[in-house]
Amino acid sequence: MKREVWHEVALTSEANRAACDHLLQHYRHGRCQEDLCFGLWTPSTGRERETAIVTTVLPPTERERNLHGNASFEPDYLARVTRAAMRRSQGLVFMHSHPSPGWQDMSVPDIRAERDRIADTARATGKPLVGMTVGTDGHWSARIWREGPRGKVRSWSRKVRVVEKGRLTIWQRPASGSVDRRKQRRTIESWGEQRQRRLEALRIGIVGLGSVGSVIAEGLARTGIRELVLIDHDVVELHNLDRLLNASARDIGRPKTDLAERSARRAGTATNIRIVNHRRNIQDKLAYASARDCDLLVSCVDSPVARDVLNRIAYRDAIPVIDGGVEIRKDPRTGNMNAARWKAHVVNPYTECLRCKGQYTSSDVMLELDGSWQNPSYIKGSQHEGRGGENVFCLSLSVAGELLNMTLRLPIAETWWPTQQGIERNLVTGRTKTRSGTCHENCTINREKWLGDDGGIIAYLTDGEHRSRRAFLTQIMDFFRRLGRWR
Amino acid sequence: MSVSHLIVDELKKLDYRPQVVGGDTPNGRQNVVTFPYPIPTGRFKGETRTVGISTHCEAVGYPEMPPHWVFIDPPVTDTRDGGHHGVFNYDGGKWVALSRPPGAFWDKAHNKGMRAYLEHLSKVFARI
Repeated sequence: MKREVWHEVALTSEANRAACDHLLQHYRHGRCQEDLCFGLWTPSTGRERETAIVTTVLPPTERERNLHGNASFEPDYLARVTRAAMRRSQGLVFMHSHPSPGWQDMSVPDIRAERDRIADTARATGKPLVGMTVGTDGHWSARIWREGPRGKVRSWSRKVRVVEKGRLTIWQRPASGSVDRRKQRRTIESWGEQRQRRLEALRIGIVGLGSVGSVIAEGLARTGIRELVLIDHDVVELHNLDRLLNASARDIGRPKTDLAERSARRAGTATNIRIVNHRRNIQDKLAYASARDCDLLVSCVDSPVARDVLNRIAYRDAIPVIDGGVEIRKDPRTGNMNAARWKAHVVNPYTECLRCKGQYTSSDVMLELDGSWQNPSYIKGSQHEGRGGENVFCLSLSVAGELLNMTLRLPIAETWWPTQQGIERNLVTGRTKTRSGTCHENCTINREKWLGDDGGIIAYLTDGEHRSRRAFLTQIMDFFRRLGRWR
Repeated sequence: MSVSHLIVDELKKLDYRPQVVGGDTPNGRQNVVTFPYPIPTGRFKGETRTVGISTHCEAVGYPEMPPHWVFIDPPVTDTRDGGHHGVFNYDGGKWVALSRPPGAFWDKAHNKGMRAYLEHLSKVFARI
């Protein structure tokens, strides 16, 4: 069966600012004058979504465009930007402004300009033309022009997202029909209808559904998030029961994603909640592609490989990652806890990457890939000794709360809200630290910013063999158990 | 070009005489690049040992990821110390495995490659 693929557009903060400064300059001075410009985009392909990441805006010179209420461009301008796109192996995006706020449709001259005049030239880049319109309030709408059997076909972009240091703005076509808001009354009374709409537009991925991820899945569902992607290869075990939300002894052997899906569906307040369940490791190509379909990712993992994958997605694919974790230090003599702290931080191309934050190192990735990460004889005496997943439910709840706040803060933040990059709390001292920083000058992750598909395939991704054998066997056993009960 | 050959090329440019050998490691059979290494620092300064660099990084992208194991023959440390395990088995040598480059060192290195890796090795010898 052919999978439906949808299109979306992502703008970098710089591209959004440059485009809005140029396109809205006349409205900002009280003149009703449209404007236009071209830009360049890079593809980022997920499992169900193709995203055009607009990285560069190439404004026209005075001679290259004409203003007459509407706006038109000279052929030289189109030739110049097409050459630039071909040189950089990027696609072409045509942007123009309209004199009204909100989502913008296209007039007949708009369609003719994009379909009949620009799309053909854009074919020289090897990528389809992306068209974008901005309203006077900075609201973007977008479409992509593809070759169909009877000429060029316009496909509207579901969303346009703008990734900034401390914010994630989602612009989408206003939904038709009414939504039942009774379950969300108190939430909407708190932060307002508009912010709730912004949250509803999000597709959020949670990687790792353990003690932290399970709380986040339920929290997001209760808040009214409509689309969740759950990724975890692990199953519930006896030692998880002291921390795993909604798990009981009957759930032992069940995949953690199934448990999280069940509780998210029960708790969800959105009318039509859609949950994609991957009982796989994020290192698996399918789960990786599905993560690239999301607008925002929450990292609840403690594996260096998973963190490395998410770090690259955050930098390459313009998908912010909210990462966090708990660290417990024990007295080597008594074996008792003598320090506990938890962290939460935002990772996007404007913040320090996870590796520079010290959340993992490339050597840790190598350790995990060659199996030494789980080898007690190797980690004996090393910095990793005692890294056995120690945790307490109250600490999981604390870090989950912090991650949830950061996840929801990013899309609802107003422009005047201060940027929050990271926070660290210490149980013993009771201190709270805020963190901000930039990547090391030699950081190679930093060089992968906005590369999308051009960043290449991550070498160690797998074709599904990382799917837990245990989860598979458990499912078979579960089937026979149920069969026995039925008899 | 395979990672083994890339490492060999880089070492040749640094005036070493490397060769690729196949041996048994804690992670199964794999190619290891070996070469005579005059120790530049520490209490073994001036002595020559054979150094083996594992090429497990083949599948994960060298030089972005550092080679993992450094094998030394004959041993320079007591293998009962802990932290050193996984003896490489090739040519009857008494190989021991030493630390990989610490992440902070490799991730911050200006030019990731054999020059940076040998810098790490000389620091290891300085501390033994």
